[in-house]
Order: sequence, then structure tokens, then C-alpha cells
Amino acid sequence: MTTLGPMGVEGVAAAARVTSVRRRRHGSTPASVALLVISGIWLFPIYYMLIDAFKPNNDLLHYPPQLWPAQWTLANFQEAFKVNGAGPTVPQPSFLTSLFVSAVVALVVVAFSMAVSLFASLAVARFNFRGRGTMLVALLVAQMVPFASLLIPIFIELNKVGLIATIPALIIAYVAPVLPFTIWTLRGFVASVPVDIEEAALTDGCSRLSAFWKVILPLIAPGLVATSIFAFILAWNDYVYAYIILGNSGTVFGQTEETASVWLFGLINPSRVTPWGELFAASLIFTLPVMIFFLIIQRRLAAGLTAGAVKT
Amino acid sequence: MSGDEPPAPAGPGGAAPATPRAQRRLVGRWVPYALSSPSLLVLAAIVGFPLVFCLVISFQEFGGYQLVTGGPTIWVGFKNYQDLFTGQFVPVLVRTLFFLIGTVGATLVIGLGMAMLMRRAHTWARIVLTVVLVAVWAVPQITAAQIFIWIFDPVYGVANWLLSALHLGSYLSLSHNQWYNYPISVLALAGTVVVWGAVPFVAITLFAGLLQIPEELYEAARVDGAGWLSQLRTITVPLLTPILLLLGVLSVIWDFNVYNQVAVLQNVGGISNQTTIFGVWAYDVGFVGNNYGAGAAVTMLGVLLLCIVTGAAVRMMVRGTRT
Amino acid sequence: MVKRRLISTAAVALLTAGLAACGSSSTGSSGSPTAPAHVTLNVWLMSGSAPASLVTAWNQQFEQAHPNVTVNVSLQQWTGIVTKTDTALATTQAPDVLEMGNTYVASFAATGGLADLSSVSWPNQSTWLQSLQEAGTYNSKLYGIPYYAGDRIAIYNTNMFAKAGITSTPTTTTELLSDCAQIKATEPSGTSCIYIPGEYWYAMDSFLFGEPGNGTSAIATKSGGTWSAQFSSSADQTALNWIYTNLFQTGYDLAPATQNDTTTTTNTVFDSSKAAIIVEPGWDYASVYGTGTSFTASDVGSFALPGYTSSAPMPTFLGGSNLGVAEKSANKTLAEEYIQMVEGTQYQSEMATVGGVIPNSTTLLNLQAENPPLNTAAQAAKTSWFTPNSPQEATVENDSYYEDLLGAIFSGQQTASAAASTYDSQIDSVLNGS
Repeated sequence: MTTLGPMGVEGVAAAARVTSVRRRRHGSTPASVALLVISGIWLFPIYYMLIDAFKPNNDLLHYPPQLWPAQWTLANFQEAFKVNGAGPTVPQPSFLTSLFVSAVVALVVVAFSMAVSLFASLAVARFNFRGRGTMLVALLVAQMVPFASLLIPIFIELNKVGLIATIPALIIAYVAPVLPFTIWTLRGFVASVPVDIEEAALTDGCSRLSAFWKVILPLIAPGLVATSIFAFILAWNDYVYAYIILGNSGTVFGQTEETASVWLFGLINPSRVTPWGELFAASLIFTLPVMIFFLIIQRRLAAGLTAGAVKT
Repeated sequence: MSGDEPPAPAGPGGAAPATPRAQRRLVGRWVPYALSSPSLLVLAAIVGFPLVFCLVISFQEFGGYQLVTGGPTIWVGFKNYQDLFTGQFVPVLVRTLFFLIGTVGATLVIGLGMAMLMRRAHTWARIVLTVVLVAVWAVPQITAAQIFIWIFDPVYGVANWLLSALHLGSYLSLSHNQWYNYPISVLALAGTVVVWGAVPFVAITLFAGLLQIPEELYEAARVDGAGWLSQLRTITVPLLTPILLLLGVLSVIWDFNVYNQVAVLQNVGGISNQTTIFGVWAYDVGFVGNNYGAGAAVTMLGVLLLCIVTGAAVRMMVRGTRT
Repeated sequence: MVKRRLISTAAVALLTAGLAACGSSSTGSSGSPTAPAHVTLNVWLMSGSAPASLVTAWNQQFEQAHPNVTVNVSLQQWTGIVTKTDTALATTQAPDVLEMGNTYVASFAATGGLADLSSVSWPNQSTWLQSLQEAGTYNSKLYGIPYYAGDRIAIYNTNMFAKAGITSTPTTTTELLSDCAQIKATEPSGTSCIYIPGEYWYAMDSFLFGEPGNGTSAIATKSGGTWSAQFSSSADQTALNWIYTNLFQTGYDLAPATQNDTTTTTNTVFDSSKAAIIVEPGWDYASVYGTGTSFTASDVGSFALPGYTSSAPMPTFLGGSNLGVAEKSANKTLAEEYIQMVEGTQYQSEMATVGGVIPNSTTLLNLQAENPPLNTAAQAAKTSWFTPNSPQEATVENDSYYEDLLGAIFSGQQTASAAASTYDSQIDSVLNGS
């Protein structure tokens, strides 16, 4: 799972930072050209998905393939959102419902893990208590445990308490891999807020709590944003857990209860010809929130991080 | 990330009543424990307990019957492990090792190459690549695999068309679904998808690391007549080693457990038993085979292997937290 | 203050999630005799089994008979259904009624996930097709009620046959091969004579079972409680090599060697005249001609897959489905009534005539006598084969061992004997429950 790891957060910030500070006066042209070529190659799959989402089916199933659409259409998007239509053998579950389910799961995971990890990071960064060191080590080791390895025991555990195939179960399952990283990162942010500022607020008559609310929280906001995006992406993009723990047996609002990633996975099925145009139209919609988040925070993160530097 | 306590004027832990810090303690001793307990509870329940539980059931016969009825599990000692060793363990492991070497190697090399180019290029070119990499980073693995399947479609795919346009078609025939016949090509495609999605993170991180290297070192080397390869060998790689190590470890952990990309590909065709790598194997044994004891055994073997491989690196990082 | 805010936000979010979860299928049944609460009966049917019109009809009939019940039919894909059912049967989300492939029933029953239906009396129970009844029985208890059977026939393009100068359909494999030689000569390259994807074991294994002396044990035999897979046996090896040499290496079969069959894809190949003969279930016959296809009724015909000798056609895989009830269902009585209705004479007759499948009772077999392709299918069903009756059979199938074996051989990657020795041991260990 290639997600926004701890180093990645700094890496993006550094890359963005450098682009705003002119450290070198001369760039090498061959290197720039090479970068452009590489950018083109790396971008191609996304570009191809983008244009194929707008091609009519006849043009998609066409050789040689068109690198630029001869015709543009929104039919694929309409197909994707059709309910009980499309598939020749099985009625298509509702894509919109699956997006809703993905959104609910991801947002609750973010809210819950932010709240919980914020408290923990405060404890670890601002207090010195017995077991603090052990806790830090445990957090580090926990980050190393592969998420996929926990699937079987988590599945059995949740089944024992009768929660399998419910949305709360999936939310609980996603919080596990998120917490160690978020606590770790937020800890760095909290610790970087100088104690003096807090002291100043306290001497001005604020209670500890309102000092937190008015002073610390705004300063660690970029960290909260970055870590909440990490949590969101994990919950939004994941497939295996969503399939095993939530599955697609239940119903919500009369429609199949499944996440969007499960919906997309099921679209390629040996029992029928794959509807590529519809698949890419739906994939585009699925990828868009994360891509937009990433592109936004790429800049904001740099600003925030230079203000409250993450210490290594 | 080293532990960074807010500077205390005196004393370890600030317990002495005479320190200004103690006077400012406006909340009780219980506060840090209260603040951290929800997290610890959640972690214990969803990370700690499952790991232990996984270990336990790996020594039991836990199949569909136990899952449905909650019935008694039978202690079978090492039987699950034995069956795995006499079964598919070695082929799967060998396959996974080759897959790992390919993906991790490619990711690091390409990432480093990109980072080096970024260092030397114009700012605007750097911005373009960063934006592209961030966009690629955002694409979900399932989607990435599906796009690549389409690109490599035997009849309508762009790759096939490109190969024939470059007159390479005769060497690398993608037609007639033939490339699905060979597990190696299926795994190569899966590996390509993995590397495509993994490079952004590595490239951007390595770039940040490269910035730490002072330009003067390179200038001195250039003055001494060292070419770019020699600069790479003597300056870049040695100074980047800690980051490369960290990225290597992370990549090994992630790529060892790859499931999504390979599963999407296996869904399309091929000889699935010969394209199963470790992450897929755990799922297959456990869920497809409805044998959770054996699946847990596969999982524990995986965790053990990863611990061994990454143990040294982890120890280094843990030491870092204590300083 | 801050904490309380954050906590309450989280609580509201969780509450919302909980409400969303409450939208999940509810199988709440009050069981109270005075005012029955509203019940949703969850039914899983497999795609392609029953015609939609029939399903609608019997649902309506059921809901009229039980005004407080809504029937919710959820159509399932065959791919991954074993895993999905295994997990669903263990949860509260288990469907009340589920259609199961007849090769899977023993496996599901062995987990304890199916309800024991032995004590209920079923319509036509005494005249059930024997193979379906055996498939639905595990440890002498009845867990799956015969729903329908289906087997494969050869569907051919009459025009291609005429063009190649073939006057009668083949009744032996020798005739089939000579017909293929003629077709290959008259058709453009890229056209298959007989299009069978390599991993399509329902069709391919017929050649194994048809070898003289193989009887019912071409896949695996059981002696003294231990299963042993038979792909290395000389009879099986002969058949596997026969297929590879005579169908794939000759170019008579140009289908992908490492893929299983998809009816819609194969129909498309047939429709574009890229195949003279395809092998599909009897009910598929009606889909290859008429509106939406390139053919009229006179352009297509059918015959049973020819055997090695003229004494009998190739044994055909008697697929089919059984209907079961989840042990964790809260509406077992309603589920049983639903099944009784579906497998009774009225709807089974319509399954035969409208759906084109083989009904579950011998008394209804003559319904298709006037319909040649369906009659072909019904007659072919008399010589049939089935998979090993082991609770682990579903796992063997789910793990794609049969497909992988065939794919390895027919793509030329492994010789038949090498592939057989690899997969025999793996299949053995699964069948014997380790």
C-alpha cells in the first residue's frame, strides 16, 4: 500500500518548498527535457483513462486505438450511474450508493481517528509519563505491521461479535493502520509548537483547554490536514477489507451496500465482456476526490510545514 | 524523529516540585493516560490482539465450520505450517522474491533517477513532474491495474499497437491472449502497475534527500574531473544511504503484501496458481480455501519473513527514537 | 470543552454510520401469530439460471400468498461465489434462500451453514433426478433441494458445415476431426472449427470421462476414505494429449488456452462466424439465433458431443443448481415454502419450457421432446459425469486447480504428465481436507 508515509509528507513539502525558493539559477535543459518525457510516460495511463471515459463504445473497441477522441460523449457516465441496467446477466448495483458508502466510511474514519490520535499525540508530546517511551516504540513497530496481515484475525473477531457486513465494522477495521502513523506525525507537530506560546496564553488567563483550542490547534492544523488525508485515502482506496468485512450482501436505501472500490473491482468479470468506457468513467469519478486533495495539499502543506517545521 | 520534550528548566521528567514546570501543572497526572488510552485501546483491539489471535489460530484447525458455528477449534500444533511447507510455500516464496527484487529494484532505481534529474532541471520542469507524480500517487491500485489491463488488451490495446508501430510486434507478440499464457508476463504486468504507483513517493522523498547534499561536494568532484557516474557512486548514494534504506524497507514491506493488482489480473485469466505471490496466497488459502487456520499460518510466516528482512533497519530506527 | 465538541462530533458521525448500517438487509421476523411484522425474504439466485419473467411470476405469487412478506432477489455472479457464500453463511447477513451450484452443496453443508431440510416434505421428491438429489445430500441429510440441471451440447453453424461439404453431424471423434479438416480448408484463417477455451473444464473433462474404462472416476477416486486425483492415470493422459494434439496443435481450436469459458463471449465468437462449433449449455441455444444475432433458426443446429466410438456420445457434465436455506436465517419456514413453490411441478415445467433447462423431476423430462436442442441436452444427460462428492470439492474448484491444470497443458507450458503430477498432489491435499 503506497500511501502518504511519514517521509512522504516531508518529501512533498520539500519538493514544493524548493519550487518556490530559487536555489539554482540555471537549470539544465537536457534534464528538463528528460523530465518532460518522463512526465509524459508516467502520466499516460491517467490521460488514457481520462479520454477513454469520454469515448463512445464503438471508438473504444476500435483498432488502431485513438489517442485523442474522435467523438466525445457522456454516455459512459450515464451508464455508470444507471441502476439495475447495464450488465447483461446481473443488474448493476448502484454506483452512487457505493460512492455514498465509501464516503461515509472514509469520513467517519477520519473524524474518529483524528480525534483519538490528537489526544494521544498531545499526551505523548506534551507530557512525560511512565510508559511514554514504550508507547513510542510500540507505535513505530505497529507501523511496520502489514495491514493485509490483520485481515483474517480481524474478520474472525468482528464476526464473533456479529458485526461483519456492517459499516461500523469496516470503520473499526480501517482505524487500526491509520492510528500509529497519525499519532506519530501529530506528535511531531504538537511538539514543534513552542511551549512559550502556550505559556503566554496561560498567563493571559486562558484555561489549559482553551489554550489548546486557540493556540495549539491552529498551529498544528496543517498536520491535521495531512494526516486526515492519509486516513481518508486508506479508507477510500482500499479493496480487500471492504470486500471481506463489508462485502456486498447487505442493502442500504434499497441498494447494494458496498464501497466504490468493490463496485469497480466487480466490473471486470469473466462472465461478461468488460464495459471499458463505463469502467473508466466511474474510475475517474472515484479517483477525483483523492487527486484533488493531493494536488491542493501539495502547496498548502509546504506552507504549513515551513511554519511549524517537522523535526527529524 | 527523536523524542523532543518541551525544554524543562531542570530535572528529568520535571517531577521536582521546585521546577517552574511543576508549578505550571494545571492538570492532574492522570491526564496523559486519559488522553492516550482511547488510542491504546483501539490499537490493542485492532492491531495487538489480532496479531496474537492470528498466531493462536495458526496452530488450530479453524475452517468454515468454526467460522459458521463458532464451534470448538482443534489444536493441531504445527500441522498448518507443515502442510504449507509441503505445499506451495517454496514456489510462492521464490516467485515473491523475484517479484520483490524486480519491483523494489525498479522503484528505487527509477525513483533515484527521477530525483537526480529533478535536481538538475529547470524549476518549471520540476513542477510539471511533481504534479504528475502527485496525480499518479492518488490513483487507487485497483484502478491502476484496470487501466493497465486495458492498455495491454490483446486486441484493442495501445501497447500492442505501439509495438507493431515500432515494428517490435514480431518479437513480443501480445495477440491472441498469448501473454496471459505465461505467468511471467502476468507478473511482469502486475509489477509494472506496482512500480508505476510506487515511484512517485520514492522519487519525491529522494529528491528531498538530495537537497540535503551540498552543491559544493558535486562541484569539487566535477573540478576533479569525476563524471556523473562517479559522482553518483561516491557522493550521492553514500549520503543517501539512510533514506534509501528506509525506502527500501518500506517498499519491501508493501510489495511483499501486494494483493490488489495481482488479484485484478488473475480475474481476467491465466494460470492463477502460478501467479500467486505471498499477499495473494494468504487470501487464497484463508478465504478462497475457507481455511482460516492455514491462512493465519501463511500470515504469520509473512510477518516473520518481513521481520527478518527488515529487522536490522527497524532496530536502527527504534534506536533513533531514544536519542 | 474542546474534547466534548470533538467527542460529540465523532458520536454524531458514528450515529450516522450506525443509521446507514441499519439500512442493511433486515431479516427481522417477529414470529408472532397475531400480527406478523413485515418480513423481507432474501433470495440469492445465480445469474443466467432462471428467466427473469419466471422469477417475477413466482415472486408475485409468493407475495400474494404472504402479504407481510417482500421477496428481495439478489442475482449473483458465479465468479467468487464460493468465497462470498462461505463468509455470508457465517454472518447475520446470510440469505434466507440461496441457489448453489450442485458441486458446492456438500462444502457449504460441511461448514454447518446450511439448514437441514430432511424433515420437510417436498413436491416430487420421489422422482427427483438422482444426480441432483445426491449432490444435495451430505452425511445422509438433505441440504440442497434440486432446482434444475443443465448439460452441454455442441451448437454448430449449418452454413459452414454445408460449405465444407459436411452432410451429417459427427457421431464419433474421428468424424469430428475429419469435419474440422474440411472446415479449416474452406474457412479463412483465424476461424476455429470447434471453439472450446482451454480452461473450460466442464467441456474438456468430458473427453477424459469418455475414455474407455474411465467410468466415473476420471477426476478422482476414493478408496478407504482417501481421495486420489486421477489426472496422471493413463486414460486421462491419453485424453489430455488427444485434446492438445488434435484440437490445439492442429489449430482446430483457436480459443484462448488459459481462459475459462464465458457464454456471452463465446456466443459473440460464434455470431461473428469465427467458430463453426461451440460447446454451451442447452439453454444457450436460444440465444445464438434470432433478434440481436446474425443468424436465423435455420442457420444453427445442435448435436451431442461425439464420443470416441459410435456407441455413445461423450459423457456430459451434469451441472445444475440446488436451493438451500441458511442455518442462520431467521425465516426458515418462509424460506422452505418459497423453495417448495419454485421446485414444484408448475414452475419446474416452465423452467423446462421457458428456461430451457432440465427440470428436477423425471416426470417432466418429456416436456422438451418437441424442442430438438433441448431434447439433445436431455438425452445427453443420460450419460453424465460429476465432480468428486467431497466437502472440499468447492475449494478445489474455487482455487482454480482444474483450470490451471488444463491451461498449463493446452498453452504448451507443461506436458500433460508434468502438469498432472503437479496438480494431482495439490488436489489430493485439498480433497483430503488438509
